[in-house]
Amino acid sequence: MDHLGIQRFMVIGYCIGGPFIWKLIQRAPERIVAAVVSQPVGFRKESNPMYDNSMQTWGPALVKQRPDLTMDMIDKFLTRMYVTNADFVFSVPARRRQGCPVPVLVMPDETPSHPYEPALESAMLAPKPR
Amino acid sequence: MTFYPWKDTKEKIPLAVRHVRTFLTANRPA
Repeated sequence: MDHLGIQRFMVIGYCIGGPFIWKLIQRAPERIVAAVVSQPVGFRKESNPMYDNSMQTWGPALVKQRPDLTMDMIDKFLTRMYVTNADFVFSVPARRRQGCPVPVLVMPDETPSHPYEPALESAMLAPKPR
Repeated sequence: MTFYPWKDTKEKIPLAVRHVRTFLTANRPA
């Protein structure tokens, strides 16, 4: 957005876009006018298929396209994101998001990768939740 | 907040789009 000369903007994200949006709000809340988070991924202790799904689907596909990457590198990235530091929406711990100043519309899903509870929890932390 | 057009009929997709558009319009800076 800096490159495009855009100071403030709205953002919409689907699936893994949810964690990207929450991180963006954490890092530059003054620049986000409003955000829409659709079917976001999230962490649920009872079922966390994100590591396995990623290792079986986009991981190998990405390594095939990018000779500079290896499955070992993918494993390290996924382990850090989805296993070692797994929490809430993966990118931002729930306690850090309290006091979120940005209006956010959350459209949750209810699948193993897109669990309802963290989506609802994140929506309730946004200003004027309803 | 709890809206599942992708689990409903195809005809509901415009409703979801309208929902998002209404939200963003309501939060557009003056």
